[in-house]
Amino acid sequence: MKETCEFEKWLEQIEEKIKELPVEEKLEIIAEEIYSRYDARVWFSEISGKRWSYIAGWGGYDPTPVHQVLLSPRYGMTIEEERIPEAEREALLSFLKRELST
Amino acid sequence: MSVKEWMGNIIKEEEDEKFLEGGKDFINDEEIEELLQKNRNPEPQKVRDIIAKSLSLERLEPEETATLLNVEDEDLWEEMYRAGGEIKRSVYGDRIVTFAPLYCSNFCVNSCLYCGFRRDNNLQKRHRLTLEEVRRETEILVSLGHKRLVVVYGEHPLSDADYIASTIQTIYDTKVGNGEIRRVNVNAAPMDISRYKILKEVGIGTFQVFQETYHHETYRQLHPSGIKSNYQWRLYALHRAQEAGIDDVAIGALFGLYDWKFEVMGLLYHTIDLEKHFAGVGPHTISFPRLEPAVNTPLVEETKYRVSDRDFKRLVTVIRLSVPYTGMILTAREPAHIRRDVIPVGCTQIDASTRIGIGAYSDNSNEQELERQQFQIGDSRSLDEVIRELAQMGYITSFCTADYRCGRTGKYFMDIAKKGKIHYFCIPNAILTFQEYLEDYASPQTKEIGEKVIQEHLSSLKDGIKPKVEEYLQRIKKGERDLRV
Repeated sequence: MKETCEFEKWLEQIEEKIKELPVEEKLEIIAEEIYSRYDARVWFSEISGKRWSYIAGWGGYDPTPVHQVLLSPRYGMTIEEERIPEAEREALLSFLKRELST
Repeated sequence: MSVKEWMGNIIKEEEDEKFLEGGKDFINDEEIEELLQKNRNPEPQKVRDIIAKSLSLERLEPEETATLLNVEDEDLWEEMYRAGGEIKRSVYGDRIVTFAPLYCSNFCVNSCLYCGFRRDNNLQKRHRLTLEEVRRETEILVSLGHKRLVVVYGEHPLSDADYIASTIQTIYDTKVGNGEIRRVNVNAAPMDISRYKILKEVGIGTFQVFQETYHHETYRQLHPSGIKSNYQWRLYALHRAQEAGIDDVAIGALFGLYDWKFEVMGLLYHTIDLEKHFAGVGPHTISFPRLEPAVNTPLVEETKYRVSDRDFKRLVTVIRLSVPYTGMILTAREPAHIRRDVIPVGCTQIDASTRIGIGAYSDNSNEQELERQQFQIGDSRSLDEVIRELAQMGYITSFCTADYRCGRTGKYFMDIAKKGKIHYFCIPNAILTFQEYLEDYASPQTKEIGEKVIQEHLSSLKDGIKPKVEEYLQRIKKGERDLRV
């Protein structure tokens, strides 16, 4: 229970930090936060057809198999490895989807 | 809308104004001529210092490139050829990406004196592929094993952005068995930002525009009329593309129109200007086609700037050394023996099974028909033959399209390339896509040598990635496709 509360607090802090920011800056901050918390490098892309164009986040490190997550018809996230614990993954994705739909 | 009205609505000079300095573009002809003159007969040590800089994957400055272009000593050239190969290996590994061109329309409003498509060339048979014809051409290319295309169009209202977008969508929608085209690059006329946005939406790969010649006066003489007669509109075509959000762009020059050394300098200045305006993101690739015969086009025979085979190898080498981290495309304009000789100095991409007549893939003929081609090609070998030869040379053929489908594009791609790390992704993905080709399309001979090349490259992978690639290889052999890291 304690961990869950701490996770929700973390999301709230991010939400506060990125309020009113343009989408690319938001995503830069979110990528930093995800890295600090999970040691997982993620980057965000704008999607046009098959193309995912990089817009923010981490990149340029040793390759590991990548996982791609569709966040909205327009945006996607690529994560180098699946390091986000299952218990937090769904809430984090919901948070991201919500942020990208506003 | 008439063709004339359409032409009057294309150029929007205000979109380029912010890139000009004092109203001038970034090609200063006098400065380039002066640099080439000033750096003649360079000291060997100076040349070696510049080679060392290239080997550290730093882009060269114009004076340094001018110095390399002036080398005459054959031994120094040998050192430069070796350095070019070494740079390419350190950035991209021993892999060659293959693709095929698909010419969709040869209607054109321009009058480029060297081009078979030019408006007043009455011997050129004009045709614009219908979407059904595009689908048929694509099916054939997919059945050969291709995963990447470059689509090519003349500049004409019949092949405006909406038509181009429809053809690309048709290509992406075409599937044959396990196969499909995963990346469509575009070679088309310069556009305004609103038209580029139409193309961006359908998910293009790279957008390429070649300046043909960077020399202002030569450009003026060779492009007497039409939209293309506007030098600056073409020069800033890729700046506008980047403004529209197309973050992989490609430059090139047509060698044989003016002094080849000048053109190499022009390509470097173009790279520098793109990097300056777009946070270090220069061209994704550089192309260096040589002028080839075209129907009813006497200028090709008359040019005094024809580039010899020796100079061609030299110019490719200097481009490699000048922009160490950028992809370099060697096309089937060149005959097989030249490709064999030049690939090792630093090329990263080639085309194969090339047909450039409009609708030519559906004809199933090896004969070239100049009346519906822009120029004559030199290498019409099949994809399987080319791949087999590359394997014999130790190269792994890559059909990888992973980067642009997982966000490794633009600044991200360029940052990795500049650090020399692209091969960390390229080689595993080359192995996986090559295995797909061997399973689905290769002849028995190509499969035999291809499997050996895969094993060699597999053994050189880092431990972190190797088990995953081995797992994916097994899954591909069992029928899964499009696995990538």
